[in-house]
Amino acid sequence: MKVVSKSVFFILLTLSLILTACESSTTAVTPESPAEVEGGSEQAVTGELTVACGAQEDWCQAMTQSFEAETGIKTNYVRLSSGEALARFIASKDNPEFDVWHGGPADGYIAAKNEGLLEPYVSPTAALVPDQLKDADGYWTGVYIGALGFCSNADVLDELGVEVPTSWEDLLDPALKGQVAMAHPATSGTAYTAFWTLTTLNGGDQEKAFEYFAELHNNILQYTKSGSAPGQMAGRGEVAVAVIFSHDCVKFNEEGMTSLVVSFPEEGTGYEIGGVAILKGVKNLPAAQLYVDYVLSKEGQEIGPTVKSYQLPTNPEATVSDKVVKLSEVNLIDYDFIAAADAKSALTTRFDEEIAPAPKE
Amino acid sequence: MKQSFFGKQAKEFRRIAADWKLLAGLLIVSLFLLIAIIYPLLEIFGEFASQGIKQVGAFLLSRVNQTIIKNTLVLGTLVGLIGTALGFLFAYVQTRVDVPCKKLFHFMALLPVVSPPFAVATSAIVLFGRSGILTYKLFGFRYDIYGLDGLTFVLALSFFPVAYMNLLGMMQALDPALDEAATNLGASHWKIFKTITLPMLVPGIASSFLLLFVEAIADLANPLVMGGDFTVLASRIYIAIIGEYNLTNGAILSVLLLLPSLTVFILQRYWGNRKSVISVTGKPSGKPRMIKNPFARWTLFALVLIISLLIFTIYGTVVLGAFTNLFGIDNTFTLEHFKFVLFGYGSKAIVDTSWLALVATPIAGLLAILIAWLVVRKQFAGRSLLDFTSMLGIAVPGTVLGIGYVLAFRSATEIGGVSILPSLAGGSAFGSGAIAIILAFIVRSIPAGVRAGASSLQQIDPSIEEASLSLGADNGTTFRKITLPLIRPATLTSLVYSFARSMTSLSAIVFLTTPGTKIMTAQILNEVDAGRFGNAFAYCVILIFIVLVVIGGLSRLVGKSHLSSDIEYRTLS
Amino acid sequence: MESGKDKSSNLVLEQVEKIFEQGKNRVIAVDNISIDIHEGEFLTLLGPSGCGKTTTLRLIAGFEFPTHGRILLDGNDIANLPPNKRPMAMVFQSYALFPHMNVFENVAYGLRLRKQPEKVISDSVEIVLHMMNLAGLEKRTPNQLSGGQQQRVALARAIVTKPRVLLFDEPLSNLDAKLRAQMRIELRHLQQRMGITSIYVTHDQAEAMSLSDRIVVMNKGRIEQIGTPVEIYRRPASLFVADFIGRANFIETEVISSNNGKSGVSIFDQKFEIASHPEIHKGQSAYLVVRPEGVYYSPAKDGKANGRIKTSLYLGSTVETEIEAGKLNLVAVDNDPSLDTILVDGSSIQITVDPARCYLLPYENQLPEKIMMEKD
Repeated sequence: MKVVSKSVFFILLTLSLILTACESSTTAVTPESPAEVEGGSEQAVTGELTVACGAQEDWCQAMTQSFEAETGIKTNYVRLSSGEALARFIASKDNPEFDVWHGGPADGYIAAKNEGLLEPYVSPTAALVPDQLKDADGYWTGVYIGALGFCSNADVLDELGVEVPTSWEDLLDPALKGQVAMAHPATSGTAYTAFWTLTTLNGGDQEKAFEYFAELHNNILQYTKSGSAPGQMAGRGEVAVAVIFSHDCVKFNEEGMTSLVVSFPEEGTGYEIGGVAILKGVKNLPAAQLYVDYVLSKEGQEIGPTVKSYQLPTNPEATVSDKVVKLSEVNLIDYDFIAAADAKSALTTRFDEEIAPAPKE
Repeated sequence: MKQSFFGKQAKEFRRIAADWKLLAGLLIVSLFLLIAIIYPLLEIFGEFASQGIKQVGAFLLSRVNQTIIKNTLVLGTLVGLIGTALGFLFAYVQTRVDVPCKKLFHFMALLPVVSPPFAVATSAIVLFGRSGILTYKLFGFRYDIYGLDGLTFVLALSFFPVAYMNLLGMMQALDPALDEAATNLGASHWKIFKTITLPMLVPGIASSFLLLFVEAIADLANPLVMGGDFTVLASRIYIAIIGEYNLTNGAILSVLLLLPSLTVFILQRYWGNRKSVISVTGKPSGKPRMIKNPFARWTLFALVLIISLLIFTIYGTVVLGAFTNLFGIDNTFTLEHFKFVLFGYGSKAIVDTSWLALVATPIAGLLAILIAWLVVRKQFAGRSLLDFTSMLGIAVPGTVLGIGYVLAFRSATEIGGVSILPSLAGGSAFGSGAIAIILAFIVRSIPAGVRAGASSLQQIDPSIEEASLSLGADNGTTFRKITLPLIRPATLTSLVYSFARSMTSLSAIVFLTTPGTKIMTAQILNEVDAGRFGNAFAYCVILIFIVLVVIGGLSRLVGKSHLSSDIEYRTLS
Repeated sequence: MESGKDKSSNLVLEQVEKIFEQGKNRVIAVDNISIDIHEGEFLTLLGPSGCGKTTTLRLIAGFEFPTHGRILLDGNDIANLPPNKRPMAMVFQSYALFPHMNVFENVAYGLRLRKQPEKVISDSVEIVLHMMNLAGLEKRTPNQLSGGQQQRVALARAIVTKPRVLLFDEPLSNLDAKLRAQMRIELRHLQQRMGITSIYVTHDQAEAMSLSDRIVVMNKGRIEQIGTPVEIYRRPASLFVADFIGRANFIETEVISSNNGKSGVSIFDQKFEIASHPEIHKGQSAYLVVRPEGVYYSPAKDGKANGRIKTSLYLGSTVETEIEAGKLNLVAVDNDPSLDTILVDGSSIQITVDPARCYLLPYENQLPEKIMMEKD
């Protein structure tokens, strides 16, 4: 008898699981309240949306939850670093898992566009966004700007007897051996931005950039998967300096890692344009378009600071928090996103093969 | 008249076919193994042979890759040695040394089995890292725990329970009469240990070492979290797929990882299956001689105590870390982490993972018992092949299996243009990719179940099953009414292990998660990678809690026969 | 030698062969044996370990399948029938009681399989338990029973299903000697009462002799002889049988004359007419098989001695003597000793034999001496 009840038990489980799983991917869910929609569609938009989200977890959660509250459209997200997301889009090309890509640097978006993975959509609100912050053909639109910088643990630096770094050269200081953290350019857009920055600073000479990173490698403790994680490492005192976007540093400081200080390299630093785009083969186009509209709107653009995310919004109408970096105070290089996107695949592979696993000297 | 080989096989199969239930069982099991293990492996080798083979030469020549391979092997060896030593120490103290707190030590030794792969690593960073509570805050020095030393420490602690359980069983089966005989002839404790105990345990020690080696080189979670600059094959595979979706590279690396893994695994089977000298006389009589020498006793006790305290501290950190803001930096009490995990984004992962594991567990349990029974009790061609294939679930490193699944199940499977299997992995697959994950869970759980089932079956006097047949029951009825009740303890163990394994597995499913099916361990990886240790700890606490609850539930469901110990005694004679 | 051909045979083994192949090893466990088993008889398969008796039993039971040959039950070949489909029940050496069931359930097991109504089951079980002196023990589990009780439960379990054939695989060898002797008698009475055809395997020749209607003596996979206990003892078919059953002295001799199953030989300078094996003819070398109880001696008189006492053991009811006669070593047993026949070691004696306790067998190159150690 026990065996019978056991079999019944697991058959029921299997059935219920398959049913739920099937449901979640196919059925339409009617919202409880009709949508109060921006951007002007007459009828209520329904369904579900799956977002690949490139910024921090709580930012993603806040964005998707407020969208869902606003429109009633059930929105799921998966937090993926830029390279990770791109890889998954390529993998599921024939049968896309995601509808929208939101957050993460533009180079990734351009690469995706080149791979034919995006669906162009020009949101009415996109008109407010400056031209250099969006794709000319409407494949992606910028949602925020972040400046690449150094996030240092002042206490650790004191112990090491090193000054707060203010240049890329400072990072090569032997005193910082094993004290620097950065993400892996293959998975993280943040790290790739750093890489392309060095390339640009060397007049476009990729070889020189590789030389720099080969030398920096000796000071690197560990390459993380996600771009902002090095900041946490610095915050905990595991390393002295992290190479991340400055807004992430500010966030960590506010969350309790009070020894963190932000600085920027004098030679010049790169920046990211965070993007949003609709993926080709999207299952729920109206909902996706609605989402793009929402995150570009003033309301959507002001969600960031509520979760301590201080990127600079691209919608000029949005209120800018005073914790956001003043771009005029930073020496920004002329970052060629298109060239960066084109070179990404080859460069990251080479980085992964030559630099990342190399033994330290 | 000589019978041809085929004639004989035909006769054999005709007999099996005569009992249709047996045939059905054999077919089901074979089909499952074919789909879930053989097919993905073939896909990897196919990819390797078609695309990868051109790059293999360049691959192996690169100094960087050679270092990675070397690192992997070194890590495996160190973890094997230290883990086995730890397991041996605990098992020896448990069975041969007269000290208090044995139940506690037993519990501590088994604790790592239940918990997720990151718990120990993350905890170790918090305790012993550069800003570690113990290393820095207490003793004031910054210890670089990232890299080989940290990895060895963490992996040894995580896997030594395997060695412990292995050796404990062997030591308990050692006939104490041998010790008594030796003492009678004038041997001292140390002499007995050196010349009798140790040699008889050699197969167990060797087998533990090899098993730990395989687990260590296949591990993904810990190198990702604290590998530092010490890259191993598993982490390399991870980056290749997650970062670049380079299946060809992934296939090459997989084959490279498979070679030592399979070789060592086969060696381990040879050592483990050798007619153990221990069980010749059957049931041991008398009590073993316990070490009474105070110096030896208390030294060993101290060692075990220290390690137990270490384990306790590590898991204590997990719990404390779950309830504090930034454990070690800002120790304010908070429930934010739990809120995030339980009510926010994290809840779906908890539900999904638990459901998937609960579905996979009974299936794995049943398949394992079926396979064990077929392999132990029935003679047929391909029996050893069935046995070996079922063990591939753990011989093949998780990441390799994951890649195999991606290659095999991402798109629909076709033979001659006819689609026989829909896409099973990936977000838009049938069941949102849940099926691939369940298959992976089952495949990874079957080997332990088969081992437990087989050893349990071997302890049952075959005459008992023959008696049932003789009285008129067919194989199915005999299995149901006689065999199954008698191997209940083994069934429970294997079910419990399946569930724990499924809940805590990462490397096999890390490439298979989809938006529709969130897996807790992948989530924990995200949290750890992002440095949000508090959330990670909260996840770990909940995961351990779920596993313990289900273990309790399973005990009740399968039922504990109050005669189980008696049964085992009787069936031995 | 076979006798009693007029009895009907329901179970027949026809040229059955069983070969085991393990890798490179090829073992012929059962080498072309044929047996006609009579209805209701108690047949014992007897032989040293490795002789193939257990394999033969398992072939009949269905736990092994023959490589060649047929096994006929009422004319139907059941050689490839699985064990649960054969109307037989087996009693095992280790009793093989189901440890997780009590006595009642163990015995009822077979009946439950046959889907008999509950009342019938409980009645049958009670009857059988009563018959086996196990009344009152229904609720006990096997580990709460003594060895003898367990064996009886195993037997009860087998017979309650009223099988056509009962199979016994050395069922008494785990019991102590006294219990064994007692159970032997019970078993025999039971079988005679129920009249079920029974096939019994043992290596204990005393057991075989006391239980069986007929004995099949096996050696190295072959049948040496099938016969009643008397036939086997008095007229062994080969030196092996002569040596395996009881004790025997072997004296090499020449056949002087042979006629109609009786042959003339000269032993200790005396002429005897001895019953002989059918293959014995005049002028041949032969072995005279003399049972110890057929060797007589008396103190040498008038200097006419043909032997000497090596050792003489007084055992109360018998006297066992080891005798040296030239190159021969003989064993003599006196089952009715009078005090004056006990002689001192070394005494010279006159030896003679009782022809009624002798048998003549054809010469074989090797005396099966190693077999001596394996009999009980």
